[in-house]
Amino acid sequence: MTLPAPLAALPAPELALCVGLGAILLADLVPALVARRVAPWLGLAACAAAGVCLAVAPGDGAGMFAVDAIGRLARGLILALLALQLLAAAGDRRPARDVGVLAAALVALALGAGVTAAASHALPLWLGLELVALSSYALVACGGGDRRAAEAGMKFVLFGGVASAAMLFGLGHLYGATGSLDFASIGSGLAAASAAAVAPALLLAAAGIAYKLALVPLHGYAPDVYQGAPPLAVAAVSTLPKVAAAAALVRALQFVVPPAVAAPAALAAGLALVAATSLLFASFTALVQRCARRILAFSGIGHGAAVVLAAACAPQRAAVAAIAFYLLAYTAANTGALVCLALLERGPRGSDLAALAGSGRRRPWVAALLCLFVASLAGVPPLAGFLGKWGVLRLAFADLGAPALLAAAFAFVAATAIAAWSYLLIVRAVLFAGDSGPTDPREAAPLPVPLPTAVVLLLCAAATCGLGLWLDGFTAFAAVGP
Amino acid sequence: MPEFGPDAPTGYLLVAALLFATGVFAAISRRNAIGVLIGIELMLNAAALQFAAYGRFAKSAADPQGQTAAVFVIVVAAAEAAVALALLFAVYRRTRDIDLEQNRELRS
Repeated sequence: MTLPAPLAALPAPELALCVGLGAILLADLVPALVARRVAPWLGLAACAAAGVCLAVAPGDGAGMFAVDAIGRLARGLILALLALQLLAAAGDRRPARDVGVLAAALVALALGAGVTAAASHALPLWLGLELVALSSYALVACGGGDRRAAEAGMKFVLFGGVASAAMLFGLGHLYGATGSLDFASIGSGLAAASAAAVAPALLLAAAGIAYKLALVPLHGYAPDVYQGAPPLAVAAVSTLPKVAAAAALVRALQFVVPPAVAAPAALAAGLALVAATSLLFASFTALVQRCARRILAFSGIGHGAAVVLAAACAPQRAAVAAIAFYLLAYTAANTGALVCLALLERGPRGSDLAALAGSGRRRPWVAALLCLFVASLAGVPPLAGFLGKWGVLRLAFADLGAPALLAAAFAFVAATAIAAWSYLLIVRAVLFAGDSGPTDPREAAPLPVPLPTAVVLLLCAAATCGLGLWLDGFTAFAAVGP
Repeated sequence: MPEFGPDAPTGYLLVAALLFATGVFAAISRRNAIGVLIGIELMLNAAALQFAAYGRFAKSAADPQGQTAAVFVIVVAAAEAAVALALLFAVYRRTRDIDLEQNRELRS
């Protein structure tokens, strides 16, 4: 079967998500369907269809999309995360009319992330990043949030607009210097161009990706968004764009640097410098935070930087497996931690460490799971987070001849040790601090955790604990294919 | 081909660079969110103009990719402006102010 030309321009998995998005928006017009909260389940159906398409026929969308290992892994992870988010949305107790908006924004976010992760052409790359950005703004600000959510959304949209416009201007310059928007042609064109002429353009173009990974100095929006946005929105906005941006970074590097050889020393040193700065900055700043979600925001900055460190290492083929595993471990633990926090928080400033004090007594199982996820983020063996960090470190120490990578690897170790203290602050607040909240009898016996939410938590916990057993299998799986 | 004038890329690229610089300056210096938004729009339009100019004056023959990119930029800029304005309305309804210095409730 051949699709008409405009449809064939999009790979099959993303096309399935498009159809699902349309179905959700149409169902939102029928009051009976809205009342039954069908939107998340429609999204899950589209997600399953997209998963089948990805496994059977990923498609290269008229040559603008790559079919390669990192794209396959990242899109698979994006679909898995979308399924988790939709399940959590189905378990959410918000009014029925908000569920459709939430599900539509989530599917649009995953669609943009998938396009970004698969793009091998500058135009779909930028369009995917824009779709990710626009749906993130909607998730942050329109989820029935309060004044703080609106403020977070405003900062997000203004920061994001500047980063996106700067990236576009850089891409325009690359187009002028190389005569094409296709990654392969840009790569060959760059080899002929003078470094001084294209370096500013490359820096501007990289800013858009660095913004999505929340690397210093483009991290400014992350803590405010984490703190102000509704918790489920944070879980989506902190994972899907990072996966997409990491895949885009790896692919862009592959076209500038041939996959089989080491990156040029200057490029690797630049990436390592950015990674080390972000890692150290994030770990130190997290120590002085008084809000659990802000600690997770700085944790996210550090994890994004670790991905950049892995991308700076050679050879690229091994880096792909390490990055995919790292992202899998990080997103599972981060999603789980944020869903747990959403269940433990109460009141308008509920994510402050002081407000969380003793909340573990109300929901001991949720608190125990939160500690598990936080331990994985901190890198406690034998959880998935530890194995992810181990894989990145092994890459960085593999080439002892590159002093910049070596220094960044030591910065990574130091930052992990420092950040562990900030994670302990969360554990201490939830488990050991005295209960300072109101002693309302209704508060003492909270509502049971909704079934879909419990499933999300169990899946995240299974990934966090069980990935270590499957590490060899995963590495072999990641190495298959081009 | 003349060095400068309607048939050379230099003038268009200069205007684009000037627009971009103006946009960056507006985005980082304005305290009012609408001012920042105008800066972002200027930056996006600078990029669109640059794409169109590079496409028209491509090395071999005029290249349609640049014009296509410019059209995409215009569409996305409109979508971005719509979402950003909706957000600013939401902030204004709650706080009666869209000054970035006044909306600073989120901090460590």
